[in-house]
Amino acid sequence: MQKNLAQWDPRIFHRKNKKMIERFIKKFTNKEIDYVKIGSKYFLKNNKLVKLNNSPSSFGLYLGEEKNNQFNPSLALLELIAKDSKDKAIVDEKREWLFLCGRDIFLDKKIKILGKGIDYKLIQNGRDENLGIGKITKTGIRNLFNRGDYLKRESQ
Amino acid sequence: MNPFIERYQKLGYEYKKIAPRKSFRINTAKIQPELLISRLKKKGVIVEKIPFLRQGYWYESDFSLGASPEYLLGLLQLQEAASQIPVEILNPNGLVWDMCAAPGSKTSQLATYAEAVIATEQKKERLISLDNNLERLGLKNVSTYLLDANKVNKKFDFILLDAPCSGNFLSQEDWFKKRTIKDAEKNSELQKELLKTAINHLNENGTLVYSTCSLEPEEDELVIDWALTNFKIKLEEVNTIGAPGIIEFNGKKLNEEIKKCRRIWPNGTQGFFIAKIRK
Repeated sequence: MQKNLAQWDPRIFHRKNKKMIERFIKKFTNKEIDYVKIGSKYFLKNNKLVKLNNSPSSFGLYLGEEKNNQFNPSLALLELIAKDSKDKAIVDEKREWLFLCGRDIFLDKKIKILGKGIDYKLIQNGRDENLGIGKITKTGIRNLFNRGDYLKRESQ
Repeated sequence: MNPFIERYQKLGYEYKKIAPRKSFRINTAKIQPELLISRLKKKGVIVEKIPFLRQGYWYESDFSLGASPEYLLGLLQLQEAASQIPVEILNPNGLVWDMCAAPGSKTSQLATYAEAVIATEQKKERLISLDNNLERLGLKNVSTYLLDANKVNKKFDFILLDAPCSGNFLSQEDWFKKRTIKDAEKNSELQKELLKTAINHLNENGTLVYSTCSLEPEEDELVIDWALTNFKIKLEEVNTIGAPGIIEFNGKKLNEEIKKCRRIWPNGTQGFFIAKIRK
């Protein structure tokens, strides 16, 4: 369903000791996120949800999936952790659209980079709404995964 | 004259092919209505509140709203106006079962009312599209199952049965050429099966909304007439736009209670039929 993000940097997405989803979240925020794992998929824990006898296809908000020993975050998870994360890049309306169309963005004065820790940044618009995730390079933001992916899925 | 158009005329509707107005529903799980409306207006979208809906708006825009940042951020769901009515009529406040859920417009609407939603769908590819929609809209209270409705092992206080149907002449190009009255008769068998399953899964005093976007009585009033004859249920008034359900068809008198249903002839909206059932 998602792009395989691990191809850009195995350090951040590969399994070591902790659960892969926790390792991923910790890179961006100290906030605890309660989750449930069903098969290889993670969902936001919600005690109000009711289970049937059969295994669900989804069980609340989808947070991501483990595949081939890698964790692929969902766009919903990026949105969730962006609220508390300091590692963000804020882009203006024009670059918001470019990013949603899958384009890389050149660095200039109109892009605000926050946080110092990692090269990976949650890409936010001027209203602090999450557009996806990118990697800071010498010249710009490499587009790794963005909400334009929903349109691609619809056309499949 | 086409047999469909002829029967519509007999039922009191003069056929005219007018496309439904474009509409969307605000995803209140993510944004307050006034904030989204002001945002869209700044982008030049002409927005008008739909008077008979809670979060529905008609709109006109020079660009595709379905490819806008607001859509991708999950702030709105493109959803035809009449198709927003069944969920508003059900108005669930606890656990609700959406029996034929994909592609998920109504499921996501249910999620903004109910405490939790169980959504079942029999076709895998349609379920994937439902799951994607729920993720985009950021909804936290829906579980989805690839499952035959008959296999659900639970009873509910609220059920939505938006049944598979023939659609109507606005839902498909050359609809009149592609459909026969026999198709509607055939569909009604499946709809009766689904309705039977729904009634069996409904708790005493529970509420069930049955809806279709078909204008054919075989899939609408005749299904409800059959249910009233075979099960201990009552109908409740459906308070919305449209005409009362018909109580006579092809010389056959139907249960008078069916007047409480709503038959929405296409007139700026899609065609729809809605019945509210209490067990």
